[in-house]
Amino acid sequence: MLSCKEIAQQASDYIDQQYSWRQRMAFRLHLFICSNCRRYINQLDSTIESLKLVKRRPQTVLSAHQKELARQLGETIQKR
Amino acid sequence: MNQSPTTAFDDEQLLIQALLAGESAAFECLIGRNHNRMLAVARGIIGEAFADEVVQDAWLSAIKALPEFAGRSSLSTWLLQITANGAKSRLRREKRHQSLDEGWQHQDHDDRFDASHHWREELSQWELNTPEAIAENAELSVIIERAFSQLPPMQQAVIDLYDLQQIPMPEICNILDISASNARVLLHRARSAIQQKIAHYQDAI
Repeated sequence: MLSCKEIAQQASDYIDQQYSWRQRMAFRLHLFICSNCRRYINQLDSTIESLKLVKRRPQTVLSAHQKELARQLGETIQKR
Repeated sequence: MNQSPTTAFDDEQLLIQALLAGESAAFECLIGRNHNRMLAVARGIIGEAFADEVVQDAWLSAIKALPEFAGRSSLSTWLLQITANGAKSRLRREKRHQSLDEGWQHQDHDDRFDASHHWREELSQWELNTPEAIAENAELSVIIERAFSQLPPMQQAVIDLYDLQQIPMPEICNILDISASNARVLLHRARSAIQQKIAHYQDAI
């Protein structure tokens, strides 16, 4: 029987479906009886999806360094 | 009205044409989309000290090679490959393998669990429990951004490439020159670090 610590350590593999059928069943058996681990898996899943939403917002403001880089690259291509 | 540099050029072919024509908005768009993840890859491979220089060189190489870009991968993946190749060759030149992610191969002591490997405390139900609710919360957005930017370089590179860029794991291992099992450990550590920051905030509201 997997321990809670093992479930937490392997949670990403479970979420990303990296497991064989047998491993998946062992994982699910633990989740069936352990509400804390169920909650942890849900929270980790929400973390991944919320990170995607937060980071999907475009970077609209470039730093001064990035603007200068854009200018230099533009000049480089025009010199070709 | 000016279009935001990162919402324009969604069509990659249009972006490439604009780049080749030297349009400054196109360069700003390309840099806005890719510069930070190129830095993350470079930091992951060679460490902080040389990352800026490697990325600068990668940009110049990429722009010079742009007319020959064949589109076999996305522009972003191509830029990451150029960055990774530059970082790896710089690493060979420097001949000093830096400590890239202190202790990441060893399992840290995790005080969330007791001696019998059970949760020490019951996890509380998150008040904001959907990804949308979490991402729409201004404070949590800042916490997530900060947690992401504070990840050790290799963890940040792996979570960026896998979760955000959705690049397949074998390709990530190739870009970063790490094994699949190491990549998965780094990915989970990164996710777990961000989850714990969100949990800390949610426990306080």
